[in-house]
Formats: sequence, C-alpha cells, structure tokens
Amino acid sequence: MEGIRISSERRDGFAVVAVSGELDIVTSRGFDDYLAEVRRDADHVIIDLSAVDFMDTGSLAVIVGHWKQITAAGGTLALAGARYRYTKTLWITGLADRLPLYDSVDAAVAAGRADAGGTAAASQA
Amino acid sequence: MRQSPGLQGAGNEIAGLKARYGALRQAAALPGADTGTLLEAALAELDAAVAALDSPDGEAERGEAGAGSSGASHAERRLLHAVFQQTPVPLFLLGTDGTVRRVNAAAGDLLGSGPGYATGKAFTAFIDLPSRPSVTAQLAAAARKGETRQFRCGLLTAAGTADHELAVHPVSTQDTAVHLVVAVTGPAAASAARRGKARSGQRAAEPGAEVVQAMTRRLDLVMAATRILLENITYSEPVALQRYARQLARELTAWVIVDVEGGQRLRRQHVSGPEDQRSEKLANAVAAVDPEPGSGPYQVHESGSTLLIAHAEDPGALGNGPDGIPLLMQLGATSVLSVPLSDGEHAYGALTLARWAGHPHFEIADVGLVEELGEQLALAIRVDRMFRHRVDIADALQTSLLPRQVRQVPGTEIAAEHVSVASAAETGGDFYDVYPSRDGWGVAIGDVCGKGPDTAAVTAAARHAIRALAHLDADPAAVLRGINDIMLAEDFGGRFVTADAGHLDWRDGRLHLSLASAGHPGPVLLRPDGRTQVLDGGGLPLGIFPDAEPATQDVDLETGDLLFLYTDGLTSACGPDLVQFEERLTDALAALAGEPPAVLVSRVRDVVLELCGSELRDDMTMLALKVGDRPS
Repeated sequence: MEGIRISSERRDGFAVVAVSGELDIVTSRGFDDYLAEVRRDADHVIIDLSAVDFMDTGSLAVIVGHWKQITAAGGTLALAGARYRYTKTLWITGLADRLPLYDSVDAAVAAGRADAGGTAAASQA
Repeated sequence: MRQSPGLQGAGNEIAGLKARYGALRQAAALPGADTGTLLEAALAELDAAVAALDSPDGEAERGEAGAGSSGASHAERRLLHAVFQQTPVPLFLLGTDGTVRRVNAAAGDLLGSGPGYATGKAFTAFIDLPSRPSVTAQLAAAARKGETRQFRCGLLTAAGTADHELAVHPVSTQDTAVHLVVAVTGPAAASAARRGKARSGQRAAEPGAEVVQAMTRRLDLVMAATRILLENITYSEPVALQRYARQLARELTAWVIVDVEGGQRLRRQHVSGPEDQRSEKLANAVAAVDPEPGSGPYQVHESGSTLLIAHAEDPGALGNGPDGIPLLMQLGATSVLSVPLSDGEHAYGALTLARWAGHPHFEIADVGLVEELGEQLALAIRVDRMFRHRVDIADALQTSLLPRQVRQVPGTEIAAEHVSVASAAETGGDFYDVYPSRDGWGVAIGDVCGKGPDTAAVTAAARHAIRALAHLDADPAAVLRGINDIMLAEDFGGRFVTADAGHLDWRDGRLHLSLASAGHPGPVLLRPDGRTQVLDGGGLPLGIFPDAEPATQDVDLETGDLLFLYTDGLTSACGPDLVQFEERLTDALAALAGEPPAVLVSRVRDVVLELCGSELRDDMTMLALKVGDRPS
C-alpha cells in the first residue's frame, strides 16, 4: 500500500501496532484489515500513532469500530503518541476525551499493566 | 397412352409417396433430427416405391409382359438399385429444379454424411459459393439440351472444399420426368470417396480419444470466454461484448455477430471475423447496419429457439447487409448457427455464428456449446445492467442529499457547493439541509464517517431525521440528541455522524442563531468588513456514546454577516507544501468579504482545488448563508 506502513510487535502482553504515514480514504481499508488480523490473537491492543502525518474521520471510524468490539469483549484498545498537528480530527470530534489516549507506547503499557494489577488486587481483597 | 383404372391407382400411390417423402424431408431439416430413424423410414418408402413399380398395374402401363415375367423384372430392378448405390463413383440423382432426389453411398461418404442427409436439399448447397451460379447454369443446360456437360467446381465435402470434375447427364424414361445424374469423375473423386470411407472407419476405431479431445477443447473455450466476461463486464458492456466476440471468432473459426435489443428493435452491437484488414473493414461495415426484421437473428430472438442451417441454400437467411447485398454472400458463409441471448428470464438478443466455405459446417453437436455461450453472455449482460442500475440509484440519492438549490430562509441568501472525491458508489457521506423548523428555520451540515455499502442510505436517513425532529423541537441540541438515540438503536459498526445543526429566527431585527455541534468543526462567521470568528464546534459524534451531549453556542447575526459551514474534506485538502487548507480558510474567506454566497462558495472551491491540484482527500461540501434585511 502506498502512503502507509504498518507493523506490529508484542510487548508485555500487548499487541503494539505502529502506523507510519497517512491514514486516509485509500489506506484506511488496509488499516482496518490489519487490525482485524491482529485482534485474532490479542485482546489488548495499543496503536502507535506517533509517526502518522494525517488522519481523516474515516480512519477514526475504523478505530472506533475496533474499540467498540474489543471493549465489549472485555479487552482494551489504546492510542499512543498522537500529535495534535497531524491528527487534529481526534480533537475536533472530541474523541480525544473519550478514547484512551497516551503520550507514548511506554505510558500506554504502564497504564495497562497498572489496570491489570489493580483488577488482580481487587479480586484478592 | 390411354388412362386405365390401374394407372389411377398407381397415381394415388405415387401421390402418397410424394406426401410422405415431403414430410421426411422436413423432419430431416429440423435440428436434433434422428438420422438413423429417418434413414429407416426413407428405405421403407423406397421399398414401397419399388413394390409399386413392380405391381401388376404398373407393369401393365409399362407395356410389360404378363405376370410370369414380374419376378425377373423385380430382380433386375433390385440389381439396378444396388448398382446405383454401390458404384464407387459418387452419384447424385437430381430433379430438373436442382433438388437432390437420391445420392449413392459414395456420394454420402464424400459429403461426410449419411446418404439420406442430402435428399431434398438443393444440390448447389454443396457447391462452394463462387461456383454456384455456373453449376446451376450447367445443370440447366444439360436438361435443356439433353446433352452431357462436364465442368470443374469446388465441392463442400467432409474433407473441406476441394475442386472436382463433375459430369451431368439428363436421364428420362417414358413415365418419369427428366432427371439429372451428376457423377463426380475427377481425379480427386475416387480418393475422396476412399478417404471418406477411411475416415469413417477410423472414427469407429477410436471414438474415445477424439471425444475427450473435443470435450477438452470445448471446456477450454467456455472457461476462456467466461474469464473475459468476468474481467470486463463491470467496466463496459460494449468492451466486454467485443472481446467475447473476438475470442469466439478465433476459437470457432466463424463470423460472430452479436445483436442486442434496444428500443423495441435489434441493434447490431458487434461483428467479429477473421483477423485481416479486409475482414475487419467488412466487419465494421456489417456492424454499422442493424439486422433486417424477419432475418435469422430476429427469428431467434423472438422465438427463443436456436436456428441451425448446416448448409445454407437461401442466401437471404441473415437478411441483407450493407448495400442491400445478402449478408451471407458478403460474409462468404455457408453454414449458420444462431442462438438466443437469454438467461431464462429475459431475451436480450441473438448470438449468430456464420462459417465460411472450406471449414466444417455446423452440426447438432455444436448447438449445445454455442447455446451455452449465448446463455453466459446473456447473464453477463444482466449483471452489468444491474450494476449500472445500482450506480444510477446511488447517483440519484447523492444528488438529493446535496441539492444545488436549497430552500431560502426569508431574509437570507443561501448557496451550497460540493465536490466528490470518488465515484458515487463509494462515498455519499456528506449532507446539508435547509428546512422549516418549529418557530423558525433550520440549517444543518453533516458527515457520515466510515465506509459501508449503505453509506448513502445512512446519510439520507440522518438528514431526514434532522428535518423531522426539528419540525417538533426548535432546540438543535435536542434534535442532535434524538439523532444520537436513533443511531444507537442500530449497529453501524464503527461509523458515526458529525454534524452542526442550527436554529434561525428573527429577533429584534437580528437573525438569532442557536447552534449545536456534534463533533463537527464549528462554522466560520464572516463579517462584511472581513473579520472572521470561528465558532466553537465541539461535542461528540452521533452514534457512539449514549451519554454524548452536543456543544451549544448562540450568536446574533447582523445584516451582511455570512455564516460558512463546511465538512472536513475542505479543511484537509493540502498543497505540495503539505500545509492544509484549514490554515488558510479564514484568510480566504476574509478576502471574499461582501461577496454574494454563490460567488463566495464558487471561489473557495476553485482556490481549494487549485491548492491540492484537484486531488481532494475527502468529499468537500460547503454552505454559505448571508443575512439580508429582516423580512417584513
């Protein structure tokens, strides 16, 4: 696919999907398929947007779709490293306040583990 | 000769024979004719004829000797019959009208068919086209002058067209009309007869291998033809037809003519033939003229039945082509197979194959294959028309969502502009609307975000829901909350709607705007002096969160103010320096202060398209509302 590169790796129980380039009307379909593949083996996904230069509402709809499904099934989906200048649509739509947003992948991982630990602690109490 | 009662009896017998012979001839000409059965029947008639000739009455008329000699003459007749049948020279017995009455075994082998096949057909049907007129003349001359004529001509035999020496001689008896005997006497004759026999012998020996080979070739052809249709059909029906016809012309070595119904008539859509310059010119000329009503393709299309003319006698079978010349003659075709283009429900036209002399004529066995190809082509036409119909519907829907003319709110001037980035079948997410609202007027702009097959339908639903709710409630925030609930009740995947909805009403000489936003960029307010104010926008998109609350803002608009609403396709457009138009929007609007809305939206569109080189990232939509004087 032109204009976009997607890769993924496992880190501490998370599937980290890194996107580089533009998420637009052409590339968002491939992005959708990629996320669907990743979700077959992972319940906890972090999307690294730090190298994204452009994002439109269509690709945001792709993310929202996966987020709805993964959380309904008890999993998590977080966004990391989104830069306001290049992913403004997250803020214009107000979704930056509702979707889990972190400054970096590290921060997202740490927060995710903290949540998991909290849950474990609660069940032990 | 005086008539005797016996002669009358013989006459009735002969009339009966004639009638039965006529019926057999017709049966033999039908597609699917069972030649074995017909041959049995023909031989039975022949026996009856021989018996009639041997009868005492018949003999009496012939002035024969008494009953005692009947046995001997019967035997002699049988001997002569056998001599005719088994002479190793192909013999044809013709009437003076040129119709074949009887052929012997050697002639049947030469033609590559059973001896009964030719009976009743014109002899010239087995002569190649260029030679036909001269052969007809020779036959007529032989009959008229009562003399032997010898000539060369091309014969359409099982082994292809070959030149032969022929001799024709009239024979007559006192009691019968003049007949012509044609013998194939040339050097090629004997070997052709032998070759014919050898081939039929071979065929008997290895039926399996030939059959398998033939079936494989047919399967390959059908698959290749299907692939052409599947690859091409959604792009263009004419292109697909053209490629299909060319493939068939190549594989089946025939002229291929595709006639498709349009406006109550058959129109000649495509003609393919041999791949040489002369044939291509001819094909173009033929394709330029629609088929003649009453001709073969019309019959096939109207009746839904296949037409097989293995040996064409009537040059008018395909009607007249360009310049009024019979099409069969122009194409040099001697064998025709025409099948209906029908998918079982609709009849679209006819697919006609015409083979020229020198190639094996079409047979019953070909009918099944070509009917199958015709069905496939018909299915492809149906699929393509359904697809185009869908696209037409999508186009119509899209146009209704983004009407060029919007309702005018009294005391204002409104204009809108829209540019799509892709085909109607793929997008359809943007909408705008101006509508009467409770206690005033409403204006809305929105964007259905995310892909789906029914995007246009969802967009239409959202737009109409806004209208309906605004009719009941003036508060635009309540309207958007209502849309949110409606959308949450269905599952749209991850798709959501961003929108700005505004309520307008005149208060104290000013147009009051009550704006509600659901995750959509706020409109820009352009004052007459060029100052701009970007309204807040905000809120959350509709269709995701049950507790989403629209953001609200109230503004008073003065005469001369212009409210500019837009979707993100406008702001995300970017130029070579990757700076998005968003950063230039307020400047661009400021430069257009004072312009009427129609001029303003048109100029903004031009500026954006120039910036991004007409390569938008998403559909671009805008609506401009300019405030005039308060209506009285």
